[in-house]
Order: sequence, then C-alpha cells, then structure tokens
Amino acid sequence: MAERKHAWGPRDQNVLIGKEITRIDALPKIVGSAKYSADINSKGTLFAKLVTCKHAHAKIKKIDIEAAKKVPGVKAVHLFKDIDENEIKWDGDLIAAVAAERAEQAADGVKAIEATIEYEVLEHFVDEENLEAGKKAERSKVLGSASEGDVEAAIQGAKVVHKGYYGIQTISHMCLEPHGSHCEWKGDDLDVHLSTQNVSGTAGQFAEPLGIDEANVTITGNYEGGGFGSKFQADEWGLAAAKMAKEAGRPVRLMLDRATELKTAGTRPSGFVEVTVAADAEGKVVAWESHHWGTDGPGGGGVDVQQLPYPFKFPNFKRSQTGLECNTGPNRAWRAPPHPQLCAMTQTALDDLAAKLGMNSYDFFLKNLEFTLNDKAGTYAEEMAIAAKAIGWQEKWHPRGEGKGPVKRGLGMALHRWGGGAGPCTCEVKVHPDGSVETFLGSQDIGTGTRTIISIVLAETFGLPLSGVKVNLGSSKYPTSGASGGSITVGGVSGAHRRAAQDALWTIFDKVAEKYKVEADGLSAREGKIFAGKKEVCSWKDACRLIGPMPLVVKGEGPKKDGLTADQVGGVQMVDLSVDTETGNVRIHKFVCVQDCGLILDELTAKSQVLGALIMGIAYSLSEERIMDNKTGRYINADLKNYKLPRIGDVGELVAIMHQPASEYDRGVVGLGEPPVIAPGAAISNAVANAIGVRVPVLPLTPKRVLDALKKGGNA
Amino acid sequence: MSDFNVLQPAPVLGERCRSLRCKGMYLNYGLSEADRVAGDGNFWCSRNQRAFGPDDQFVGDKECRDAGRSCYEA
Repeated sequence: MAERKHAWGPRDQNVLIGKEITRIDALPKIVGSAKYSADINSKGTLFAKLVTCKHAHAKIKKIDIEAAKKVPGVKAVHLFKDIDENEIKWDGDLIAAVAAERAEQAADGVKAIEATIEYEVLEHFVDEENLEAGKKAERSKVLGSASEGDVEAAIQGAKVVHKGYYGIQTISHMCLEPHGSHCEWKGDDLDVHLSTQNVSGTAGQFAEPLGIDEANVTITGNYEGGGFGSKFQADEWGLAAAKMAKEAGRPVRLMLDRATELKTAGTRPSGFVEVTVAADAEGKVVAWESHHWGTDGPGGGGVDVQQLPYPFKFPNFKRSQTGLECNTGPNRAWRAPPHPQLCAMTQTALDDLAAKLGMNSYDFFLKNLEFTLNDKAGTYAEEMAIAAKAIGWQEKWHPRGEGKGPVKRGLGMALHRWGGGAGPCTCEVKVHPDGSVETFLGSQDIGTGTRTIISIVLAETFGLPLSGVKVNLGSSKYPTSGASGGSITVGGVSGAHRRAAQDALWTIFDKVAEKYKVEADGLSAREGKIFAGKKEVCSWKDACRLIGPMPLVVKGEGPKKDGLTADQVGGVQMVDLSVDTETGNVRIHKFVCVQDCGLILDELTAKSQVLGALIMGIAYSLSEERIMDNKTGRYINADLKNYKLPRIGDVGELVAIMHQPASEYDRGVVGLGEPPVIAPGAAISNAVANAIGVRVPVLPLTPKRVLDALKKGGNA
Repeated sequence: MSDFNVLQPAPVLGERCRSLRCKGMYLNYGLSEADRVAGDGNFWCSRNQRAFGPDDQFVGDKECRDAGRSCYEA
C-alpha cells in the first residue's frame, strides 16, 4: 500500500474548495434564528445596567449600593471597586452593576446609586499627542530604543533626506454586539452565554475568581457580533453577572451599553512619530530614524514599534519610544495589532520621501521591495502590478498637487504583511453508520465563516454536499480549540479537520476494499459515492454501513508541519480618491486590495474579509477616533452619533482581488482576517497627499485636519 | 528627540505571577516558543479580570514578575 500522507487535493479537482460559497449560517443570521449572547433570554432573566464614573481620575469617598436595592424590581447589586483601595482611572471606569426585572428598573437602580456617590477628584492627563505636556505632567516614560548600522553616516551620504511628523489617533473597539454575557446557575453549575473569541479558554476565567471548579462552568458562544481582538476575557462585568445571578437566584444578562463599550472595552493605542528618512540617488532608502510616543491608556505604554519601519528592514535604522500614561480606557488587541499604526507611520513618511525624490510612488515602493521582510518581494511586485492595472495607476498618477479646480484627485498605495499561521485545534469527527458526518470542537465562529470553511473541508474530503456534514462548535464542553486571534483559526481548524477526515476516509476505504475486493489505494470519494478509478464501487452510505453499528470517531489535531497550512501573507492596496479643498471632505472613488493568503478555502468569505477590512480601514483613516477633552478628561464622542463610522456612500467602490497563483495554493491554508485592515491608513493618506500636494500628518483625515494641513502647507 | 540616546537596561525578569493572563496564552498553548503564532502586549489579571491587579497596580509582563507586589503568587 502506498504511503498515506495528509495533503490537499489537486486544485483542478476540487468541487468545493476555492469556490465562492455562501456561509452556511447566512439564513439563520438573516432571519434572526441565530442567537447571540445578547439574545439569550431564558425564563426569569434579570437585566443589568452599570454605574460608571464621569471623572477621569478620582477616588470614591462615599457610595451606598443599598439605595438601589430599595428600587422596585431590583434583585441584585454588584460593587466593582473596593472604595478604600481602588482609584477611578478613566472616564467610564466601572463602579457598580444593578440587575432588575426590567432594564428600566435597573436604570432606576443605577440612578439611585449615582445619587449617593461622593468623589475626590484627582489630577488627570489625557492629552496623548502632546509629548511635552506629558513630560511636564510627569506622565511620560522611556520605553526603549533600538538601532542597527550607522544612521548618521548614511544620512550624511544620502541624496535626499526627509524629516516629517506623522500620527494616528486612538480608536475604540466598536463591536456590533457589545461585550457581555448571560449567566445562569443550575445548582452548582454555571452556564454562560458569552460573546467571546475564546470559547475553550474562558471557563477557567470564570471559575477561578468565583471559587468553583472549571468543570462546573459551561461557556457557550454560538454566534458573535464581532470581537476584533477584544474578547478573550471573562471580564469583570462577566464576573459581576455571574455573582448577581447567584445572589438573585435568577439568570442575569449584562451587555455593555454603547458608551461603556467605547470607553472601557478596549482601545487601539495612538502613535505619533518624528521621522528622518533618507535615500540614495536611485531612490533606495539608506536610513530610517524615528522617535515615537502615544498611549495605550493608564499603563503608560504605546504602540509596539519593534517592527518599525514597517514592513522593511533598511540597512541603517534607529528608533526610540516614549509612552504616556493617560487617564483613558486601557487598550486591547485591535485587528492586526500593531500593524495598522506601524504601516501608517512608516509608509506615509516613505511616500513623502518619494515625492521629494520626484519619483512616482509606485516606482519608489517597487525599488525598495528588496528591503521587505519574509522573502515576499517577488509576491509584492506581482501584487503591485495587478493592483496598478485594476486602479489604472499609470494612466491616472500625477505628481503631487497637480490638478485644477477645488476638487483634487489623487492616488495612493501601501503594502502590508501578517503571520497568520495555524493555531492549536482539536476536533472530533464522527462518521455515522448512516453516512451522516458531524464534528465537534471548542472553537468559535466570530463572524468570519469558520463553520462554513469547516463544512467545506469535510464535505470536500468525503465527497459530500455541504448539507451532508454538520459542524458543532461554540461550547467549552467540546474538544479544546484555540482562541480566535492573530488570524490563526482558519489554519488551525482546516488542518485539523482535513487530517481527521482523511484518517476517517482511509479507514472506510480499507473496509470498502475488503468488502468489494478492490485496491484501497485507488479509491476516491466524490458525488456521494466511492470510486475505484472511474468505476463506481458503492454509495457513500453503503460504505459507511461497513463501519458497524457505532460511529467511526476520529480525532483531528493541529497544527502540524505537514504542508496543510503555512504562514506569512502580504498584500498591496491602492486608492483613487478626491479631496474637496474648500470643505476638506475626502471621497473614495475606488479602493483596490490585492491579497495573498495561500490556499483559499472559500473565495467568497475570503473576499468578505477583505471588503470588511477595507471599510474598517476607511473608518480609521477618515473619521473614526476617540476624542478626549483635555480640560475635563472625558471621552466626548462615546456614542454612535459622534463616534463617526462610514456609511455606504463613504466607502466608494471596493475591489478585493485574491492573489492565488499555483505557488500560493501549494503553500496550504494561511489566515486572512487581519492583514487587509493594515494598509488603508497609509494608502488613503498617501492618496490625499497626492491629490492636494501636502501631507495631512495625523489620521483620521477629518475635514478639519485636511483644511489645517492645506493652510499650513504640511510635510513635503 | 531628547530621549533618543537613552538606552534601557535589559530588565531582570523573574517568574510571572500565576494570575497573569494574555491573549497569546490562549493562542499558543501547546506550541513551542519557535512555533508561537500570535500574541500582543495586553495583559489582565485572572483574579479580578481587570487590567489592574488586586493591589490596584497595572498588570503587565514586567510588572507581574515583581514578587514584592502584595497580590503576587508564584
């Protein structure tokens, strides 16, 4: 018998893999039968509301939570702070929670507590862009520095040197489904419906602080309305829901309100930088020097700049960083941390250098691809050519600021990289004697199509339609699988399921070979049948009857280094936009992303990832930012009206081109969720600079910042 | 650029507090250090599920190796 080796099949023989397949849970989501944690409403559920602080920095001198208990309908109250020990560190920090029969009664309970609170207001600092103010307020700390080569000598010998200031503001997590849970005790057991990216990893996070056994906790997360890196924890509000449920003897649902979601559930750190970058006469970068600052909140850290300049390694570089401790909500991973900030801070400066050299940005980036990481220069060059053709770069590009009339048109580009390797996964695949197939795994579908791609892998392997397999995920009682972060889920679950399915199939082939007196090596499964070469041997159901009365159960594990999965992806983005120099408004006409990600399991969900990322990228590039009031220390736009996200008319034409030549297919599956959100900031900023002739240094490029830059003249 | 030439001494790091948690722990479990797939610099305390520990001090990789903290547990 030939050696059996786990592998993907030849690309041209795939029936499902690589096709555009609609998500298998699209209909339940559309009709509302897909239940999110925010939808869980078991009998007797109490609804919780939060008391939050309206000061940026304070101590609680007095609070009376008993006041809430006198409010009709209130059944439980939880105090988050030990008022003798804990300071309030940001506007929106949690103080108490109230659970009541109805949400309105919980809100009344909140008001009753708020009326009793006395604060000692302390000095605050929230001016994160102002390094000097941070130093003066003694809120700065040196985070470190790194260097390689001789930057000074390289700058001295350079043909062109550019100095500039750039930045990107803090944004908040804005998941459609806020953070939160529904907690219900059943005797000593706790059932938690949690909006989470970490189904297998959160039971212990509830158990330990509650003083119960992890085996007594069940986490369920069938659907999630977005996480983007912010939902790996049980969270203090999750513990509060569990404690109040215990106190009341009733289930409690506690989802964060939108203001608290924005203020407390995690931010993406800001980054500001002074850059000196130099090139030789050919346009090759010879030196990079930068000093960074910004904040990740009260911890006093900042954007991790270890991968800067991004994604290049120039012959000479030097960088240093200062963190600012601010009275703002703490950060959490935000889709592709910290690449969007690094990309924006690097590639805007590089584009300004190109302009100073008098080079077309395309030619400049092409010339410097040799300095990109992970041996991807050739792939980037291919992707640049594809993107340029799609957007009409060579026909439309012009030197900066050329254009008549108040509305100026411009092109910009940027490139990005990401790891996206396969994460840990264990699954249990069952092939039943009647031919039906199902799998169990403690993973989660965070909206990316995980159920669908698992179905595709199983159905493709067994030669079945998608309806012939059932995917059971979203429970901590299923085999342990890793959290969904770092774009590693698709690699983890697809590799594990391909291994398990092939192992199961080979077992069935052996039984078929014995029964029908054929060679197992020559068998294949397709169209619901088993074939020996081109000859039909039996139906899939007939083959599965050979298993016996009990299901065939196969465990799949990963990651393994068997070629099913890989890591490292890249992409190129190009934008065509207009800027109204009288109003400062930026209008996207066309936004092209060319993205590689190895073997693509579902072209449709892959493109959906790209399109969603571009929309998120447009948001943080043009309008989305946390606005802090320096005087009061308060977050002044923490609502959906003033925390500005793009609408349909703001995004223009989005084009997702999946770059999958044979060399990519042969690499195996690589994750895609995060990388396309990295480059929009730099690409859009570069297009605006190309349009109006000056750099708008800080993202997002709001009308005010555009007009200010035009007035001032900007960089380059 | 006033801080540019300030070089940080390499920190002397002890053992992490047992209650320290980060995203990478849930992404890289079971993998060797060379095979780790993702992570970030965000930490929280498993005891109170906050970015500040029971002692109200910041939770971080460096900070939570300090055996002198009142809440530290080896």
